[in-house]
Amino acid sequence: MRIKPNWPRRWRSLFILILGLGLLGLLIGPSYHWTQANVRSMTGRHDSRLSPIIMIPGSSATQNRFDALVTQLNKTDKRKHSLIKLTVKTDDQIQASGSLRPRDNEPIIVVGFQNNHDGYGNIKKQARWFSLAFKYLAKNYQFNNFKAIGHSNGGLIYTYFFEHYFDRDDISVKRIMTIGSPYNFSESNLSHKTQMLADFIKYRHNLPTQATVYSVAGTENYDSDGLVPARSVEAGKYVYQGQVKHYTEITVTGTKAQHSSLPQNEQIVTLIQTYMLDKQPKRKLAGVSATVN
Amino acid sequence: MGSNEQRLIHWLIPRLLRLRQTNFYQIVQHTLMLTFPFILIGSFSQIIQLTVLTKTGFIASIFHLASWVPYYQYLHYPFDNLTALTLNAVAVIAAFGAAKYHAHIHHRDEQLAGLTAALALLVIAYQYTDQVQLGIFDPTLIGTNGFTGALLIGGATGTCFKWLSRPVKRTQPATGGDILARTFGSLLPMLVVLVVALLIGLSWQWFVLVTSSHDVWLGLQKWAWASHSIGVTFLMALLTLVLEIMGFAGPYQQRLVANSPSMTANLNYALTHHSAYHVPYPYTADTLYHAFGTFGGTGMLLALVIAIFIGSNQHNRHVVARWGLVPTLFNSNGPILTGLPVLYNPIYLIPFVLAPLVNMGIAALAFAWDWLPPVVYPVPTGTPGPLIAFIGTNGNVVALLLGIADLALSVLIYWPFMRLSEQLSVAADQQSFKRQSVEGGVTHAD
Repeated sequence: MRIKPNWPRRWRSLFILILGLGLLGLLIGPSYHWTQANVRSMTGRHDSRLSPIIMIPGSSATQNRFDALVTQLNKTDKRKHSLIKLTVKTDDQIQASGSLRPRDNEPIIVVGFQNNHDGYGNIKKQARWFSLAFKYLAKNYQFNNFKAIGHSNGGLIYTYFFEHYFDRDDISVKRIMTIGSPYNFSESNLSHKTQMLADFIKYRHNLPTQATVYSVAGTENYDSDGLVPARSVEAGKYVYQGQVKHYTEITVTGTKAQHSSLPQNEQIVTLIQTYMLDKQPKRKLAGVSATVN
Repeated sequence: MGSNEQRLIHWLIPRLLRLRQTNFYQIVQHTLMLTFPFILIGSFSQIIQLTVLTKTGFIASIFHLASWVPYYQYLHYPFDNLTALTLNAVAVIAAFGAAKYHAHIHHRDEQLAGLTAALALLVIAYQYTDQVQLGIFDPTLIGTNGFTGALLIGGATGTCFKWLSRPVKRTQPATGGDILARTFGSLLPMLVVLVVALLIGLSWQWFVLVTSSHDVWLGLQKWAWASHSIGVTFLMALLTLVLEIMGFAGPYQQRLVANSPSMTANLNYALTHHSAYHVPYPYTADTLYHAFGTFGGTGMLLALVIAIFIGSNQHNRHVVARWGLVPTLFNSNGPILTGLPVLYNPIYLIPFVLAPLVNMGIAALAFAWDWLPPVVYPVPTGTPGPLIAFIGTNGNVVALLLGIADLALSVLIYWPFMRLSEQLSVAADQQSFKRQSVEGGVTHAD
């Protein structure tokens, strides 16, 4: 019971099939270009040796907050880290100043916000603005890892950013340092958790597991740096400890241990130098294959 | 081939006919046809949403749409909506259809039965939560993966109507009193169905909470995607294919893990060595199943579409295949699954499982013999099947040729089953036509 094929119908179908396969054929070229460009940019990022330090200042401070710190770092380091400053406006516009010097693999980037007010609501907003700035940086500078430093609320903004926005798999954060960051705001009693601390703990599973975290506290007396209670800084352990690779608490006392002086404190500059900056490569080894261990 | 095939057909036809005449088959058939247009619309909407209006989609990526189309980031909203309420709510329609046709066969109130079943499904899928959120229904129960569950609910509702309500006379026009009597007659089964649905829904929630079976399932999916043993990869692919043709979701059905550890390790290796040869895990779900086993969605249905275009004599199939071509080109298999149908169709079980596995096997051999590097680079969502390996190997020509050869081979695998299905349905139509005329005569004699 062979049925005679209905040729006109069959030709129509074959025509549609050829059209479809032709479309597929036309897509080969663009596909090729896309994947070549994509793999090239991935390779570029993967091979990049750029590893910036990205800093966020605390509330009421601008993108110029760390100028003194950078000068001090450059002086003791005998390296000139480029300084790039970004300001995110309330309408999501990004203003940038400064540039990356050639052959500088460790620039310092400071991200400030036009709205730099205190409060959990503002921190959430600033974290979103920071995510925009980070996207801008990732697009304009090819780096596959970075170091994060946040002073005061800057550390809180970073924490919120890592828990809610940071999901790049081609960029990793190697080390995080928060300086005098009040994880429980001005509450010194740890059994009274603020909404922000509760949220930080709730979403801690999103924190980067490969990062090493330092939380630096300053104290003028035995329980405060004059503004932030030491117990509030200490509350950071409930957020980071056990979730990130290493969590280290450091307490600095003595002169310039007041909250706002912390970024200029010599002890902290030394800490940043020791823990946050990459080790200086020995220049003479460039091009020499044998290295002395 | 003649005599063997004829013998097989002669052996199969009576059995198939008997199957076709069961209420069960009738109900499933009708229900599938009822959902087909919704799935078709939903599939087109989903393709536009995923490949054109998502930044990481295929068309969007290769034509860089995000950078030059105005208001690009807002364009996907209407399509999100359309997809969510057609393709991702199609089980509701299936429940409606199954109950309606069940009630129809037993002369019960079909509208009320259908609507009750649809509501019962929603009651079961309702997620009890104290947080205000948008998706309040369990997506796995009301989407395409809930198809079989919906058929069961529809069937149970129809049975309930059959037991608990009286037959209705289909004498038109019905008077107001008739309608009222019918409504009250259906009240008992409606209540029973809804109360039972509530209880099932609540106990399901409790069960999921207590056993965290959802997490176990997610864990299995993650494990399956992350696995890099060749045996597990083939076994999970087999499981996925068998479950999919039976209307369930298998472990490889969704790409849950954007970046499984094995995939990241492969990519890092390839980026470091500037070559994708000899990556640490060449035999994973990404390199084998996704790249070589999903042309036209699960089951290589693009091959079946092409086989129909070339060899079918049935008008209906051509129409379904034409409408289904664009979705299958972008790996959406819904229209072909329900339109032909392939779903619950024992004839297509063998090629549905065989074609992807054979292609995966060839790909595994090709990797082992270094014909082409494993597929390790990112591939945009909705990339047409034969191009996945090409893109994922950074434009390797052998990968493209292998993709085309795989497609041709799959057409050959589907070919005899497509013919068999066609001859069976022709023969079955003829016989049932004969039988109907005989039965028709008997009824008249009554």
